[in-house]
Amino acid sequence: MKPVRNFLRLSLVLTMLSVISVLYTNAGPWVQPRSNRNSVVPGEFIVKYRQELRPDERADIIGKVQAKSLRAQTAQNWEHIKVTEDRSTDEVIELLSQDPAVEYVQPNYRYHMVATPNDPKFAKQWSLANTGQTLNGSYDTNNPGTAGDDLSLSSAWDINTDCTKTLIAVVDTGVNYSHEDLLANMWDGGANYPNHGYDFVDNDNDPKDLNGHGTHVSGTIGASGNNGVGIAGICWKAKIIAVRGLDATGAGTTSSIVSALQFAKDRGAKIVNLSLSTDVDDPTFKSTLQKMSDAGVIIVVAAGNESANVEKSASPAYPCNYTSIANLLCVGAVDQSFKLADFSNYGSKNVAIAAPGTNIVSTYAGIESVTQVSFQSAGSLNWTTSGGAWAYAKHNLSDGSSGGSGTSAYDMLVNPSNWNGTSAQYSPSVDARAYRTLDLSSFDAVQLDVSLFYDVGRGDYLNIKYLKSVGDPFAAGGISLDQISGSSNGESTSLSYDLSNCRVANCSLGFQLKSDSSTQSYGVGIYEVALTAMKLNNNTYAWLDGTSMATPQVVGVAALVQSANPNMTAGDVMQALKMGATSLASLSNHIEGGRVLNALGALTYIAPPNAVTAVQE
Amino acid sequence: MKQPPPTLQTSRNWILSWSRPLRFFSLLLTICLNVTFMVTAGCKPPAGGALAQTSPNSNNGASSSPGRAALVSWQANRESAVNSPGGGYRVYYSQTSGIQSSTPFVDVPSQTGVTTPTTARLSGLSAGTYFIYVVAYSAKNSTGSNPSSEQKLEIK
Repeated sequence: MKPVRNFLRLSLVLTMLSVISVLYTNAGPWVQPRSNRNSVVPGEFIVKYRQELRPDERADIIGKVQAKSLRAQTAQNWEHIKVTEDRSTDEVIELLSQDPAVEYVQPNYRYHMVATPNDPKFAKQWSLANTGQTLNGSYDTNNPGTAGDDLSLSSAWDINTDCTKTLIAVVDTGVNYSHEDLLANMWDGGANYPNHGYDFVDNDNDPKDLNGHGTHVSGTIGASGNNGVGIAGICWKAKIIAVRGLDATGAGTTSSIVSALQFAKDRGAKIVNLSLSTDVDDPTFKSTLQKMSDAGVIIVVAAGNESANVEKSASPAYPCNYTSIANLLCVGAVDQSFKLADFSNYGSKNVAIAAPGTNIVSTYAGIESVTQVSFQSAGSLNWTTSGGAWAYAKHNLSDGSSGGSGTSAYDMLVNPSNWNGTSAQYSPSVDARAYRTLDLSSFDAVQLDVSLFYDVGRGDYLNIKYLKSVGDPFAAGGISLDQISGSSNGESTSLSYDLSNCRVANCSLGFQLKSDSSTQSYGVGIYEVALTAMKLNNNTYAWLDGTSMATPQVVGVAALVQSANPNMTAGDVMQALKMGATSLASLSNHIEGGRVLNALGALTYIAPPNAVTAVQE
Repeated sequence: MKQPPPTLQTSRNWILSWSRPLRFFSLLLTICLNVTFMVTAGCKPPAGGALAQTSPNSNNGASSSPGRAALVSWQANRESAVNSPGGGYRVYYSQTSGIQSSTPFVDVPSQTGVTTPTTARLSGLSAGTYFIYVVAYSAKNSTGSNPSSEQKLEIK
């Protein structure tokens, strides 16, 4: 059991998904011309004849509009002509159509190949264009997947690639707004607020990402497309507000998240990406989301990565389960063959749509490195201790035996020294400390992960502290990371902390077991202390899996739709996303309507006209 | 009922509408659009003898169409493509409920520089009950939206 927290821990939802493009409701299978003003070749027409005509007969007809023949397809009875005098399109069509030998006349439309961006990593973005490519990500199932199981973006981009009319907020770990593939698509507040967002973790105006998650999410939404660099975002052009509500470990609080949401709303965000999840029904969080929805903001949220049914009381997921909030959309993850990803939460009523969430490559904050902090040197504890009892030990965690070798034998930092987790107990009235110095000076952020077993009796505590200099972190100046009491009930527990504040050459990290004179317990067995360090740069890309990765796919498509249709309400966009989705019977037990996001379907969806009246004149 | 004569205005409207290739490919072989098309392509007039005449703003209203007439109106769709070149509405009307491939309709195409009209005049109607539906379409979605809710109109 985890120690009791005085804050709500919102976990990042890392999962992967894939998108389906098998069907979309309203589009035909044929190639279509662009519908803008540049869609016709000026002065050129196609004349369809009712029957095959001799050249002189055809010349007589097109001579009425002073046209010359560019090509005659006599077998199909049509002719491509060019008008040599200045005549309007309507006039040419009208004059030629009067001839009984003419079946119809049409402009010579321009056709364009479907849009394919020149971004070098585009070929790896299966969610955008699934060619059955094998990918370097970590999700092995359906890799490669099924060609065509994607968002149909190549065709959708023929309609719109520009989302700049719609402000998008990424409420997450921040964004590396300096990244080479994001810089051009970041929002800033102009002269009065020349920043890209806000940081509600450190409470300043620099929302730089120290984790990578928010940068990854942002790249999926709006990495610059067709710029010859990196990946293509679903939006080639975008305005992304970076709002940091989660720290370097990916954890946030009610206060930081709600503040971040309010900032996004106040700055005019129309769509919010919320790739996070918790099992706590938080009334303040819910109320804020409700107000945003009421204001016409679309909130796209991750279903979570516990492989669980969010509709079961034993495994709820919020905000996914806030189904009463009209403009909130919960997203599950599918793989490269549009199968539900094995980690994805699900719920046939609450999870409204699925999107690609496996093997997703996107922009990242920088280079991550993981360092395991050792407990021993030549078989002896290499941590400084005081107050006794802390010791180095080797235990086989698969059967609980001490010593051992192989993959189940772990070096451990234990207290009491004969720790076995089941019988040996620590001493009463102890103040046992163990600490060691770490050089964290070369990193931009550091996450501390501690994996352990603990049984700490009432009135006793395991304290974790650091000091930004050499020495005992439990002396004056030490900064607390946690105070743990209770029991992990024989289960291993992993805890994460943001150690970024201790990025100095001599960061002293320590554990303290402090007991009172009453009941003792089995103590502490720490089998891993790991440092995940981030060195920021502006050209890193990373593979991630998660419903967190599925969520921004929906956000990107929603932004494409909203930007192409400025008169649409949030409800209209929600409807287009749902009705334009591909519906797969194989997903219907897990995702509402078996829906998988389809960009082309959403962009071409048209709502039925309403308020129809008819009266006799 | 006597067939109204085709008019130049109607003819041009028809050709313009058919000049959009999606509708051309999807509908050319199956649907009779309006008077001119029926005449020139040899289609039979729609059941009940009703002849859809016009989109709003054209000149061939009741004066050129014998029989009874009705005015259909609806709320404008908010999709930009419906109000852009290649977009518009089709107003289906029939004395049989539902839309079949043969159900006649009036085409209300988009117009340059303005929101696509949201009214249509049905002329040449005969007495009886008509079922009316409006479908919105775009250049990229020629099939169009699902039909609007059915409107029943008693022509007397």
